Amino acid sequence: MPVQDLRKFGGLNMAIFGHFSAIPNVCDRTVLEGRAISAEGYMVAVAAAMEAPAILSALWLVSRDGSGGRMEPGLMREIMLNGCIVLLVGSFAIGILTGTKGLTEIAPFIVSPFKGVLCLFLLDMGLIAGRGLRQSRGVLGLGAVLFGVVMPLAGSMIGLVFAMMIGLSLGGIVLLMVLAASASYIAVPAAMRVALPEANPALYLTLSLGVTFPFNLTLGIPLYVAIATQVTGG
Amino acid sequence: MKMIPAKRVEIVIEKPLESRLTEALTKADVTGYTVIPVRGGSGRSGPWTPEGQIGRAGMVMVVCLIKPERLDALLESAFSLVERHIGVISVTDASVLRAERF
Repeated sequence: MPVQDLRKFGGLNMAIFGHFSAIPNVCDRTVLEGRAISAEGYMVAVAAAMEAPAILSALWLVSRDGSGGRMEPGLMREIMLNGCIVLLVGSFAIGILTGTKGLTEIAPFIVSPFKGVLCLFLLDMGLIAGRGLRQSRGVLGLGAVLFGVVMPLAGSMIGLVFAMMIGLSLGGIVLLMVLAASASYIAVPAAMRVALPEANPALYLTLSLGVTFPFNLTLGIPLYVAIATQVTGG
Repeated sequence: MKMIPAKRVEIVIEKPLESRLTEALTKADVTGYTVIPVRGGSGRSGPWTPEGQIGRAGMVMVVCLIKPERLDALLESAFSLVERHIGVISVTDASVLRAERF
């Protein structure tokens, strides 16, 4: 593979796996709550902070030789102010302003139905992932599938190291491991279709949604919890 | 009824590029356009459907009617966007009422 193509492929995967997926993060929190493992509250802000850097650094990587990855006018604004970031930051502001009293008032709508809604959402995501795999059958080779499994494991280990370096709690370590292990399938693919149209969307979408996403939900999260518990001594 | 000749331009493009395309059309002095969601299709990359896609994925078709003398400017503006991406631009002859609106 020519160096330029390698750079594009590497940049694309940097964006996909450097970003995060909200669903594994949410599921991870649910798992931690079920095991009575607390985590730092600001880890949600960490997720929000991970939105833009991955995309921007990926675009910088592939644009260095001028062969691709155009930073078009307006793309920066879309990356920094996409719906996910705006919702997250807005939620922070609402939480700060309304405090515990505010949460108590809307708990029947936000907190109580959460697990049920999450179950339905995961079932729907499973359908979508399955359809995507069926439609993209033949696009992924064995190497790509293995990459989709190995990359989150590697990312989780990097997350583990950094989490321990900054002294996070057990719950915080697990959350950072999951954030580092997850791959984007909404924000990054949309940005990449604009900035890097030469890349095959069937490849990276199927990878993140059809391989990495189910791996993290089924095997990854329990594995990351077990590793973090073992390393920290529980 | 008095009708005038016009050009109907249909642009099928990826959904993430929709806003860029409509901005380009506006800059080309297109007075109006219609955005239609696309349910599926097939092309050089093979068949595709929205199944298995989430977020801002899939394709849309933008349809606009313009006076013939504005066609070149519109095509230049639209093609510069479509050139690097998945998309199709087609032009057909049409007749329209209320010429002052185009």
